[in-house]
Order: sequence, then C-alpha cells, then structure tokens
Amino acid sequence: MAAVTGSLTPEALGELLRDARENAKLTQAAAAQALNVARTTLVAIEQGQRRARLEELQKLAALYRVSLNVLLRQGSARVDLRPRFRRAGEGDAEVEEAVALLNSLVQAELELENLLGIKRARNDPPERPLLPGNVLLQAEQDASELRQWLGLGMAPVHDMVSLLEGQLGARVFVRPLPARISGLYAFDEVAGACILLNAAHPRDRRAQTGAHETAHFISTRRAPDALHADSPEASREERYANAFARCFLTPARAVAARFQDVTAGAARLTRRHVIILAHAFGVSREAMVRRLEELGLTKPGTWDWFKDHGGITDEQAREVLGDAIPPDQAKTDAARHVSMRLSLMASEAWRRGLLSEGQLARLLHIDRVEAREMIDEFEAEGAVDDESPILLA
Amino acid sequence: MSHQSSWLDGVTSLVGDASVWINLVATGRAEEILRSFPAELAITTTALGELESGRTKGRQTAAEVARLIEVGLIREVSLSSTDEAVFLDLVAGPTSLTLDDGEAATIAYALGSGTGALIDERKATDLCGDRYPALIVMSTTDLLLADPIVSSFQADDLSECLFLALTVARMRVPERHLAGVCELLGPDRCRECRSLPAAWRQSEASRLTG
Repeated sequence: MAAVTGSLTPEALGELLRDARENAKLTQAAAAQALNVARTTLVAIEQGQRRARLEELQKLAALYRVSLNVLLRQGSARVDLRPRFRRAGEGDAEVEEAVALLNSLVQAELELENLLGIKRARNDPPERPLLPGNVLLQAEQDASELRQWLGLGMAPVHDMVSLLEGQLGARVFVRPLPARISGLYAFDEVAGACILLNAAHPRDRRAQTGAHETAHFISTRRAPDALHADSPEASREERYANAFARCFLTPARAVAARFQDVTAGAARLTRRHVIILAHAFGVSREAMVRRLEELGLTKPGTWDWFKDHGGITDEQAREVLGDAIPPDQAKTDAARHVSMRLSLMASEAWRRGLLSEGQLARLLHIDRVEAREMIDEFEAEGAVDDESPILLA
Repeated sequence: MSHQSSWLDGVTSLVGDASVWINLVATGRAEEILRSFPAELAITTTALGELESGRTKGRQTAAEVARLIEVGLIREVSLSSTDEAVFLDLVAGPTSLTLDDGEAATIAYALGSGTGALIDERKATDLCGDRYPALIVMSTTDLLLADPIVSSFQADDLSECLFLALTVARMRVPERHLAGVCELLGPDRCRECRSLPAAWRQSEASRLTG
C-alpha cells in the first residue's frame, strides 16, 4: 500500500473512492454489498481509517467504472464538474450524461496540457453579478460593456466559439448532444470557464447558446448552467442570460443601422430582408425577427405571421445567400471520435511516451483500435521527421 | 528486459496484454496460431475486462478470447497478493510514469509468476526496460515471426495474418521487425498499412531493393 499512499494519504484515497462511488451513483450500502463487506467497513475505507486490499480496490474500480490508474495517478489537476450540477438540482438523465461528457473532455484537455507543459492563457472578463432592479437593462449594459472590453464595437460576431476560446480563454467543446439540450456551462478555478455546445444544432443556434452561457460567465460565474428544453425561463438569471445573448449578438444600434440599409426603399419586411439580416449577425431567422420586434423595428407578432405563412426555410436562405453560407466545420469536427484539438495533443503525448495506449484510450473514452487510428492519422498527415521545420517557440 | 533472438528458449508461458489479443484476433487465425505456439498463453482478468468493454462497440476480441479460454488455449489469470506492490507501483504515481490497469496487471503478473510478457505498447516496453530489465517483454510481431509459427504457416498465410493485424487492428511493429514484416507483406500491401511508419510505407520498395 506504500505505493498508493506514498504521496496520497489514506484519507485522500478514501475521498477519491467516495467521489468515484458518488459519480457512479451508488450508495455505500450497494458498494459494500458488491465488496461483500459491512457498510461500516466501506465507510472506514472512504474515511481512510481502513486499508483497502488490492482485490477490493480493483473490485471498487470496476464497480465505479473507472480504472485504478485514473483514480491513483498523481500530478495532474483533477476537475470534477459533476457535483456542481448535482447540487444545482440537474437530475435529468440526458443532462447528466452531457455533464459527464463535458467533465471528461475538460479533464482530458487539462491532463494533456499538463503532460505537454502547455500553459493556457486565461482572460476571464470582469464579473457583473446580478443587481436588484430590471435584469433586462442590466443585460443590455453588460453586453455592451463586454463588447467594448473585447474591442468589438458594433461589429457582428461571426464565430462565437472562437471568440470564447481565443479572446475569453474559455474551454469550448462542440459535440453531439440530444436535440433538447443546447449547452452547458461550468466554471472551475483551475480549468476556467467550460462550455459544451450541441453540434447537432445549427451554427446560429449554437452561437446563441454560446452567448447565453457567456452571460452566466459574466453574471453567475460559479453557478453551473444547463440550457435545455425544460430549463426554467422565468428566473432572473435565465431572463438575464437570454437578454444578454440577444444584446451581445444583435446590439440595438447595429441592428437598427443594418436594418435601415437592408430595407432601404422597401415598404414591407420580406423573407429576403430577414435572411440577409440574420446572416449578417450570425443568428437564426427567428431570433432576428424577434429582435426586430423587441427593438420596435417591426410589429409585434411578425415572426408568428411568417410562421403561419410557411416560415422562412433553409432552401430560401440558400437561394438568397448562395455561396455566402460557409461550411460548418464544428459539425465536421464533432463527427470525429475525438476533436481535432484533443487528438493533436493526445497523439503528441503518446509519441513522447507520456501516455500509454491504454491510458490514452481510457482518457479519451475510445477503444484501443480507435486510439491507434487516431495516432496513425497524425503519423500519416503530420509525421515529424528530420526534415520537418523546427518550431521557434 | 530481454529481447533475445532465440527468445522462446526456456519460455514456457507468456501473459498477453489487451493490445496483443486485439492483434491476434484481428489475424482471423488466432486459434491456429495458439495451437502452433509451444508456450502457454494467459490473459489477466484485468486485461480481459478491458476487452469486454469493447463489446458495446461491436468489437469481436472479447468474444473470441472468451472462446479460446473455453477451449483451453488461453488461461485467465488473476493477480495474487504478492503482485500487489508491482501493480500499484505501475498504476499509482505521475501519469507519465504509470500505465493503465490492464498493462500494469500484465507486467505485475509476468514478474510475479516468472513468465514473459507480451505487450505491444512502447511506453510499457520502455518502462519495463528501465524498471525490470530481467523481464522478457515481447510483441505480437515477435510471436507471429517466432520459428514455430513461421514453420507452421505458409508464407502467404503469414503475410495475410500480418496484413489483417496491421489493417484491422492497426498493430504496431517494433523497429527491429520492420524490414522482415515489409518483406513478407510486399510493397503493395505495405502501402495500405497505415500503422507502419510513413517512411516504411512510402519507400518500402526502395528499402527492399536497396
């Protein structure tokens, strides 16, 4: 046991075992039964008062669906976002699965960064906790302030994911999720802001979700958020986040100016106008029309009118925009077993002998053959040989 | 860690890691290979558990290994309390100095029982070389190119086994065997094996003739 407790105290090991059990949603009684010991024995193990034998550790690891290596390896930052969501009352099974996915992606990215010595730049924006009074007004002010802080002025945000990653230093993952889940947000002191967006949703909807989660980053930083079909819309936090997203992606002044240009000389708002405006701001047609309604640029009920008269279809958008619609690269990346960014880091860690094939497969939740295919992809396309240019920094 | 040329001399049993069983099953002729091999082969319960998790993705390795255990060609083994220290030493510690459970269990069992280890994993092999220099650590390729297998299979059949292990399971080939494997495969098949180093795939013909 000396190897386990060398730099890991029995108490720390017990705590790891307890966390793993809770993540596996097992009671102490169930775990004790699987181990064929009394519940008090399991409690003693989790409190570091009784030494767990190897056989018991292996049984517990198998029961909790983790490897002992994952549980016992040291030196890498451990992040567990799951308890935060549990405490926030997110008990929905699909949301829990998405939270587990976000957690595993963040953990893998952190571990790979640590192994490779990558220092990720953080640029957390100033916090703006919710104040008493009208949250919609505060959302508008805060969105405007963030735009100024980022130096965006009134310019449209065409790539919300890049903005979050590049300018705000957030960890953003775009992976397929059930249709009813739009995204997740959580903050960790070590990992920073962590956001998961649904790759199955259209890019403009993902942008809105990204802006919504940015609002939580600004206002309720340490509270996790799961945005899904059943999310409560009436809370002040959610009303703030929705309003913030609208104001951030479609600032009033910029929308009014663009509206004036696009509709110049027209007597009615047409589908073409909506398509062009939505494309200009990178938001959905519905979001665009509702924003026009909110800003008094068109009559309330305009979107409902379009909806009742056949809506505004993707086909119509393609007719208007043609080649101006760029390919959705995030969707392509999400179709991979592992995102390009994680694949690159994981392959490099394997190439340097920092991770074994088994560790790599476990870290990325893929099987051995998938791990080998991922490594081969980079060996084939990005093989480092003696003739490859040397990196300067 | 030993890599003798006559590495099978004196080796009566070997314990294989999941990485090796994946390759052997991918050949499509695992049973014939095992029947031709003079040493007893084993798998740890830990490595078997790792293969089992592949069933959900439609992988066949676990089912085939289970069948081979059933017919007595593979022995399933568990770690004993005397293997504990080595196993924990291999799974606990800094990430860069540890291995996954299956790999660690394979090495711990091999050390504890005085058998050789079959592992197709560079980090595990290097780690054994540093910490357990006396341990015999071999790869799937060592096994497939061992005299008893070479003499039991036609060259074309052996080439097919290697090709399938390389293309279906993306088997890794130790550097010392690259020339031999490429020669058995021939230049056309070599080019199709993406787990072979790019330099060998691309210039295999010139290497063979040069």
